Amino acid sequence: MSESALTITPGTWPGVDEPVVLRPSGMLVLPSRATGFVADLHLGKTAHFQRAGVAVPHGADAATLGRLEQDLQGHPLQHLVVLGDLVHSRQALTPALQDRLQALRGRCPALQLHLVWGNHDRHAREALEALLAELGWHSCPSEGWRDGPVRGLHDPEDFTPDANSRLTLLGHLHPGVRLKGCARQQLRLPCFAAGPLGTNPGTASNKGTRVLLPAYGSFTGQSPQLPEDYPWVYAIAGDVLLKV
Amino acid sequence: MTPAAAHDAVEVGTRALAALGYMPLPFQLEVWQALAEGRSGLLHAGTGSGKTYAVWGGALEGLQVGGGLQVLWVTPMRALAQDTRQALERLAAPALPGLRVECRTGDTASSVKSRQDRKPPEVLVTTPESLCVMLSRAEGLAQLRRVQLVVADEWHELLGTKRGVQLQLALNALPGTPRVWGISATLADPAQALAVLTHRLGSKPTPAPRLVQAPRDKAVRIDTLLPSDAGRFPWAGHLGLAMLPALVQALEGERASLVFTNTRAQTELWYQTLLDARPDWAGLIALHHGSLERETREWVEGAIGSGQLKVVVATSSLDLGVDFSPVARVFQIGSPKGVARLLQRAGRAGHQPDGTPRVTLVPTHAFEIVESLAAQTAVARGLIEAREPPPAPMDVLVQHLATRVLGQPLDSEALWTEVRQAWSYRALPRAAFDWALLFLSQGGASLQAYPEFQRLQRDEAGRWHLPDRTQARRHRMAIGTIVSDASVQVAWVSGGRIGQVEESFIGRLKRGDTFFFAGRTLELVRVHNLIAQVRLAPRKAGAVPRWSGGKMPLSTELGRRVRELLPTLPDMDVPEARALQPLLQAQRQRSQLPQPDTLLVERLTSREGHHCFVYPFAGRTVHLGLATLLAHRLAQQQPLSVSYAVNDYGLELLVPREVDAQALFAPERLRAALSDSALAQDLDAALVTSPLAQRRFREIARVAGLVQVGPPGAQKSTRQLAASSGLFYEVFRQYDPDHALLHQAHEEVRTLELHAGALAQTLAQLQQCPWQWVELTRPSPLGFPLMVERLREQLSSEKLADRVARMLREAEQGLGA
Repeated sequence: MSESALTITPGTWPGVDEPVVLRPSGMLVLPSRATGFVADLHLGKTAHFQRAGVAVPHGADAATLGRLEQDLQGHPLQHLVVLGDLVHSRQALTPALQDRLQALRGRCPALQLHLVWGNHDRHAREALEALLAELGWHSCPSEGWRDGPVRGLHDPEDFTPDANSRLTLLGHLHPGVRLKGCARQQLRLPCFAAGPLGTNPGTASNKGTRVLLPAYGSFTGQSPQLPEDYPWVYAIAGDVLLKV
Repeated sequence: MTPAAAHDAVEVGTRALAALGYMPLPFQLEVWQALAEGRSGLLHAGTGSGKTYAVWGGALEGLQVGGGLQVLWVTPMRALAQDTRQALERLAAPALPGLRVECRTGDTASSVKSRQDRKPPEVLVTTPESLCVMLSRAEGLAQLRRVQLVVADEWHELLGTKRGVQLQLALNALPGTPRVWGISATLADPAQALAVLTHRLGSKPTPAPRLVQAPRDKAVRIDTLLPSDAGRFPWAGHLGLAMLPALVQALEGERASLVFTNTRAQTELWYQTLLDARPDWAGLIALHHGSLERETREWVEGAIGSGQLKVVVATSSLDLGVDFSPVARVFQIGSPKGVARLLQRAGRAGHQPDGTPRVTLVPTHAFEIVESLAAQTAVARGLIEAREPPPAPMDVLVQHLATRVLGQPLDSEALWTEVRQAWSYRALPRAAFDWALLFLSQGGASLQAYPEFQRLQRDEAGRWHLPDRTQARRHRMAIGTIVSDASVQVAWVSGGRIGQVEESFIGRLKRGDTFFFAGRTLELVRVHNLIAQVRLAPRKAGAVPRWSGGKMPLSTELGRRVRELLPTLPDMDVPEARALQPLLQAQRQRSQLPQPDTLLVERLTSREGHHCFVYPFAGRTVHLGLATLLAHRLAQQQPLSVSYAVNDYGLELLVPREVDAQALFAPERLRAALSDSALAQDLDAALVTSPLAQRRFREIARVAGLVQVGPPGAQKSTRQLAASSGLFYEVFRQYDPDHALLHQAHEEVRTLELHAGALAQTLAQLQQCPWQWVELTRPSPLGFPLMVERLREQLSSEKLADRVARMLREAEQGLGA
């Protein structure tokens, strides 16, 4: 998979002086920190639907976690940060899903796992907290993940620029991009989207970059429109990443 | 019933009519007689001919004031319910003082509904959906116990739809065995319409149902508003603003007119344009469509009935019911689409005793002039579209079974017997029925696939229940088969609702953007809790909301007439044909006129890519099938991305410039791609990857309760259950590809959208006939409408990454759209 990943070299994004790797799986990796980021897995969404009397077939969780394990195998990381919405809801956290998360833990015993709480996770707060404690996950405080100049948050609305951060990674929005080509062809693809921080007049001096991560879960949709202020878009076309 | 009782019924009806100053008409007496004999039936009648009283007058005898709910009057549109109630009351009041006629529809307040539950009226005017909601509640079922008569008003509207199937099922779920009467406008096959409605009764020892034929429709006058300068009339388009001066002039001469359009967006634009042209008509002109607030719609209906308004621009929301006596003339902007539809709209005019219904077609582009001629021919020859009831749709069955067990616990055998009494399910295989129950109880045919699923449960006696109260509430809210997109309320910042638009439309707007809605130019201030707050915009430019709904195909009936007409046009001496001469001339100059029994194929290279136009004149649906098949077969031979467009005359394939079009669109390859061998197989393969099946699945998934769409302003909590139908389609395709609802989606596309049978016929014809090949340097009048068609399908066999790379390259070269 590494061949098709895209490396953003230091200096390309304002304020970011380390390489950033974007993978077609939807994972973002900071190699110099041995840290990977994924957002919006929405595990257990099918179970949630089934409980509510909506008959969707199983399979999405296995696909999502299978992809995650593949991602982790190829590239030994020390930290994996989930930028929110690990699970879909309280009903989503079934015994079957708990087993799957346990198996994931078992296969990567040395990996430090971190959860930035997303709005969906909060619906399952108590059960999820207990499970994460049992499996040795780290629960991030409400300000999100922080490692030097790098921050990780779930909802872009919760983000306020501060003097120290240079790279902010965000989830929640499930970004997608619409491409138009010759012969009136159109295509919609999930994407990474990045933009400079200092677009607000008040923070113009605050040089840095924010990045929206695509939804990592298999049973998730895309938002029909990219938010403004994210001019650099990297579309995921199957197993290849392309700058749009 | 005894002859004496029959005599009583006629007596009561006659007295009631006499109180309103009428004498009974022969067909009214016939219906009363049949009703008195305990028969069900169908009254087949034209517009505005006293058909409501024909059935209602005969129902009065035997009604007991204070005797509980005895008559259900089912209307297809809730907007009609109030008018119907008033009409029924007017006749009954003198004969039966104290009789209560009330409405129960989606518009009825819950306080009124609970009062009705406590003290039921004798007569309830309702819709198929509200009737099903009653069936889903024990109290509702109890009320329906004494119903003796169900009237399906405007049955032709429901007959060919899933709503009609829903009503068939509901009729057979009623506790007693009431008489069932349909009231219908002109139909191609009234005997079938009667059979579908009264199917279960056919197997019971009641007297045979009766078909009563009222006198035929008044003659309808159809003409065409022609452009003053035909040479400059557009070859394509759908707004038709070139016709504005002519339309304004025609409207000036009339006291009151209805101007029908084919879409809500067109309604908004024409309203604005007419007002701009005649500012002095402010207050005399109004618009009407289904997305406006009910109060607004009711005001408009009242105002045109009382003669306050000169012009109302409307969509199909005004097709039915309400008698607008002052309206003398109806205008139809754009294609009439079908003969029955045109007659229905024409019937809105000419209700004055001496009036003749008159409808004037206003073509928006040149080819609609041909359609106007075709419609005139069809009406003159009395040809009208058949309305075929959908065959045993699984989604409706699934929804109905859940509705039934919500109302009362029932075992499988009782449900099986009941369901097969409905005409559409008379030949339902037991396996299909069992699947529907499995789907509702286990989620799917195999247990392990849906471990967390719970919906229906069985008790020890083998009876089914739906125990979860949240699910029960959601099911009742979602009852129905009309599928629309999630919508948001549009309201003033200061409060006060204006109407609804689709969420996807508002989603594309930014704060400060303006749009036309409800006849005003509005500026979006913010979207909060699924309410789009707006204020009046100072500027007069903006987007027009696009309500989805797709393009309505020309009916096969009308398409057939168009095909017959085309070759004869050059020699016809009527104003319409003369107006078409410049177009025919241009077609001859740039290309060739299509000859009878030959296939015209045109090729063209433009900035957009390589085009190939094929004109089988077989109607939009067949062309869609042909184009899907062609695109699929060509893309099988090489990695290729094709976009295609169709209309009622032909189809267009469009490929990027990089493709070698000389080889791709070579005669022998196209001929081979149109072969009828392995048709079913190739069509199926094409379907799986085409968006057609995905769109069908959207509707089916919602009716069957898979996809939940909250009502406008629904609570956030239901959003956890939100997922797009595209996503659902993919999940099913990947993890449960044999799912019966997927099969239904594919089957509906095959039979309803692509008309597989007609497709095979067309292919066979095309194989035999000679082909005319033309290389174009400029688009021809026939090809141009296809070139500018924005609704297109795509099919690709390119590797996704290659395709995206090519699209990005094209975008850099400025070739993208």
